[in-house]
Amino acid sequence: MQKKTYESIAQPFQPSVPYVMNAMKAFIVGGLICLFAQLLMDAYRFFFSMEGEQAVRWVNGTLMVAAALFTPSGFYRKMTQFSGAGALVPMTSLANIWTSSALEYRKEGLSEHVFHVGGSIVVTAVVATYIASLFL
Amino acid sequence: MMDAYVSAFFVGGALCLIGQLLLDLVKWSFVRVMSSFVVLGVIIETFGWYDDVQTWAGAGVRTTLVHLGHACAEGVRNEHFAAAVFFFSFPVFVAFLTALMFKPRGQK
Amino acid sequence: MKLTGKQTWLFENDIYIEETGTVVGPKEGEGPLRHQFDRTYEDLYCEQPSWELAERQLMKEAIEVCLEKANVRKEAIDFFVAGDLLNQNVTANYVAREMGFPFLGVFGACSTVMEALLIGAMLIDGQFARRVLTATSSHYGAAERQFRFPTTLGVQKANSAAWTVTGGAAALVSKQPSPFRIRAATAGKVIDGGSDNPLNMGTAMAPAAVDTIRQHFFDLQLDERAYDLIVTGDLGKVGSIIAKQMLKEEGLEVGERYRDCGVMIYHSEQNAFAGGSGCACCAVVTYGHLFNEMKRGKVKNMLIVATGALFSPTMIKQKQTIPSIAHAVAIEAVSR
Repeated sequence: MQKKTYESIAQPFQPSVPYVMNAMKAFIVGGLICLFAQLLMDAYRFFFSMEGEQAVRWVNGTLMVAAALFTPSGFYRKMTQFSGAGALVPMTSLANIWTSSALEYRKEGLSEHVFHVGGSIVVTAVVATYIASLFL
Repeated sequence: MMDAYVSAFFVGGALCLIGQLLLDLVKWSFVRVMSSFVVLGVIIETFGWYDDVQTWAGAGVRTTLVHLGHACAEGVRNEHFAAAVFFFSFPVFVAFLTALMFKPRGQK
Repeated sequence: MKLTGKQTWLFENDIYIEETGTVVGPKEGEGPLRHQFDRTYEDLYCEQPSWELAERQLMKEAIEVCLEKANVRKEAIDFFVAGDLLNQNVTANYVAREMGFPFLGVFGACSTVMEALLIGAMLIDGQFARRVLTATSSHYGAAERQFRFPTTLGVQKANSAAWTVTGGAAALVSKQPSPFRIRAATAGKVIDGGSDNPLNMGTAMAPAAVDTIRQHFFDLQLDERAYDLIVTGDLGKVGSIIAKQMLKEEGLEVGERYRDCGVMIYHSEQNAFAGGSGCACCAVVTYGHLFNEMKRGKVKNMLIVATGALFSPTMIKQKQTIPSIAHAVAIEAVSR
């Protein structure tokens, strides 16, 4: 069967991607996560008198723990199904991506498989950092 | 004071919106979208713009993957990698502990 | 000559599906066909430590239910023909180890159920065996992590994605008269429509289903009115519309006669995207629901076309397209 002809037959029947709706959901959920993070950051600064970078680390740490704990039950996945990139661009996604791989492969040795899905993010970051180091 | 919240919401939201468009329109895989935000952070820091961005946007960038990229490049600049190491190692640590304690429930 | 036309066998002897057994997981147990299955598990783990072991349990239990219902001892089985979705057919291999039958492993992705059934029917028709047991299974968690991502990973799935059915099914083929007689079978060709999206299996498989159906009618010189039902395996909501349209262009007005197991197995509000898929999808719907319809006399004869996407994550990463296959078996009701 010719690739071109089948594509032209199948194309009209594909479900349409709700671009606008997805983008709006991503915007709102992502915005709310960042808003909550800002609140938390100010609260940490106020109550524990943390300084700039320290507060950022604690806030991200808190959100990551929450994301990891929401992962086994499938709640984080349900949230991503709704919000798309809204739960992908915040750093919580790192906790989810590695927790989910580790959970899934816990029977075959979880430490071997923590980077099963998200390993390429680490590689890209390290490569990019090395290239940046040539300019800094 | 309120400005910080408004900008956090809008900057964070806008980044996520761009991510969603990359997923839907450009058809990138989610791993590539995540990686490119990290690379974006590295680039912004390399050019030395990140400090202005984070002062203005606050948690809008500081809780996203852009901040992770910034932390890596800033580590190179200052020869002080504490932040970069934290952002990479902490989620792995949390993942490890969670996987020891729980098993995936599997959805209906 | 039993070979009729190019790809179709017309069986000379009366070959029957003596009995069937179906076991399903929790999501299928909440679907519209929940009362049609023999056993239902409330938990995705099926009281096992991992998903691969759960799938093994499902296939094993389906076989046990089948033999129990047929009142046949294990020793009476001559051959065991089975397959599943996991790498190296592990589920079937381990079940065969436990059961101790002479074993033929088959792989046709989601079309395995009809491939096993037609091989079973041929063994009986050629008098190579008296009783052949066929079985298949699939499991949501095990399939998801092998073919796509870990089940708890946050990814947004498109509406064209399918949900792997958790279940196991077994059928006993022999010459013992029963209400279900196998008339004919068509083995399909591997067809590649050129799609490469692992989250849109229906579109990848539709041309294979159409090719097999067209060949079946052409070989037997029948038209679409010959069957009360023409059922495809797991094309889902997207693929089944495409298949229907393509059949129309081939001159086969299937209309109301056409069904799809992937669409039937879940309610539309069950968040199953385009519908069910997996080896067990076609198997449990056919052996459970459709056979019950036959027993009640609502369906006189039907053509089951199990569709399978022969895709591998490795090949997808190497930018290869997804080949697919479909096998058809014609089953008719016998009134006793």
